[in-house]
Amino acid sequence: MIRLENVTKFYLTPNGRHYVLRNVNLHIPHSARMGVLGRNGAGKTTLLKLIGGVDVPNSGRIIRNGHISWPLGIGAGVQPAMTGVQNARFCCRIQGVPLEDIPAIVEGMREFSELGKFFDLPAGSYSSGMMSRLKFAMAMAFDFDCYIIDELTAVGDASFRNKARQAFQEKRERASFIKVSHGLEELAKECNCGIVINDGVVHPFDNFAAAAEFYLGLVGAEPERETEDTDFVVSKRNKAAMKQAAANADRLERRRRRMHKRQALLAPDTAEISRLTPPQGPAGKQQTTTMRTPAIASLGGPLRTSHRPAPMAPRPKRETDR
Amino acid sequence: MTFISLHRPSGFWQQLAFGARKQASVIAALMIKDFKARSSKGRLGIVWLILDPMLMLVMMAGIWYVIGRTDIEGVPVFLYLSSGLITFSIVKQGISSVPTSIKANSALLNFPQVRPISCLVARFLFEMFLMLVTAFILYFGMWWIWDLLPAFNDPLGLFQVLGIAMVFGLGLSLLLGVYGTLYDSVAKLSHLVSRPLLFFSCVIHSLTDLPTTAQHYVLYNPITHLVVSARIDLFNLQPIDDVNLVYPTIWAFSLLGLGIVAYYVNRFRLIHE
Repeated sequence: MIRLENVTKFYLTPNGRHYVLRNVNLHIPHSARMGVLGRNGAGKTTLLKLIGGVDVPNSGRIIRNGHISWPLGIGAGVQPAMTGVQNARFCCRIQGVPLEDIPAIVEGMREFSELGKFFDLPAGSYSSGMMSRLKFAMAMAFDFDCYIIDELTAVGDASFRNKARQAFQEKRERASFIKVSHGLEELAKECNCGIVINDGVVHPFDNFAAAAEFYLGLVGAEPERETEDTDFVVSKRNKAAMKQAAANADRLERRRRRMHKRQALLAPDTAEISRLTPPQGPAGKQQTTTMRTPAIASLGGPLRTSHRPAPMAPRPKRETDR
Repeated sequence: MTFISLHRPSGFWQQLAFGARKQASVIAALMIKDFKARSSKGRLGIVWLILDPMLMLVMMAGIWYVIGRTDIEGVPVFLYLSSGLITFSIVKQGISSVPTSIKANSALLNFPQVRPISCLVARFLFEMFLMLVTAFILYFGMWWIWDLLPAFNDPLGLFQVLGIAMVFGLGLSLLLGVYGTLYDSVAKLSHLVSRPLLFFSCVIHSLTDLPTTAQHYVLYNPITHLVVSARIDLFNLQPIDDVNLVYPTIWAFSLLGLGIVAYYVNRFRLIHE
């Protein structure tokens, strides 16, 4: 289970603060297979970094139960100067794997990644697809309760995509995942819920189709199937379609606001994706990590806390509250 | 494919121990990574890392031999210069090598276990280990080839000097590691300022070689106190009244305190950088 409580995240820019997330309240249960949608720069990667524990919010807190993977993205996670083997070993060491188990795991990664001789060459010489294979193999070697994937499976050839899909099908039995991808069809097949990030606000949906519909309305586009590829692409050819899409977006936004208002009255500050199946994760691995508001704020450092008071009625007492 | 399950303990102390073990393994992994990255640079790899300070020593000693001096304060030039060079290098790592470690490991900050301070501490420990190996080879070589060995009249005093030098170096590492990563101009300026430090720290000459006025100014530099103290402890030289360890100790712990505060204040900004 992952819970975000009043999470606000901003970046300092020459023009002042740029808010990526504002007062986000979200509850992601163990069984969630969540697709994250949003425009470029909406804050999808930031949200994944916060959930993965790589970054910290400026205000609010994130409660994480269980083992959550590092964000599996295209950008970072592999040191280019090191070979694939060295990166794989490094990954094992920082995960606290006993030394005697490392060789077997690294060999498993070599086999899974199918990089062959390139596995012994510096990662800086890899193509983006090869890099994805390595990163994916590194993550698949560990049994996490929740995998965080940031467009990683969108890169690579068809065989890699199939392999990634198969690997996930196995993992899905006992783990949840949070996935960012612009391939809507891929997400629609894998996800049972979704969120859309827009203007710092997170819109949760308890089925992915509704999230995709809302997202398409927001970006002012309609899905179009490519001739061979399975992914949706955005079409901007038709002006009339654009107008219609904009009208749809307005209508959906109004509906969302009404729903939020109703939800706020029922459950004051937490929009839960609650109609999912109960937790199925392995027992005996519960551990709570709480990332509180940075204490640095009191020192008057550059990262000041901007805590906006929680709106609506006082929230009910929960077990996790301390 | 072999899978591994990661089990975390549930009790508070067990979790604390688990976390400490994990951080230790992160630092060890970063040290190994640093070693592999450095050693894979050329064919001779790691040999160059050790040869580099030795070549510098030979070059500096060569200048003295050309001038016609084979000993300084009654100590053979090689021995005399090596002691100063090792003490100085411990501090110098805090300006040159360690502060760059956050940027060098930026790709690995994607792992939640790797924090900017892990990179700084790992690089610092790696440099200290390298310095230890270099010093051992250097003194062993001088004993083997020329039968030169320091007197080691005050080993505890020497450990004290090296300890203070390490705290000094770590404090500088943290301070410059934080602000050098955040502001490029700080990194450039620190390199510029540190260049003449070799001459102002009495590494390649003795304090008594300088005129009295110059001695007065050079003694404002805490590294001079460390270098001269190390020589006194190693070679049984006559103690100098103005040289003491209190002054560099105050500097070292002040720098360490400032470094820790600087890291704490900027720890989130460093992740974004």
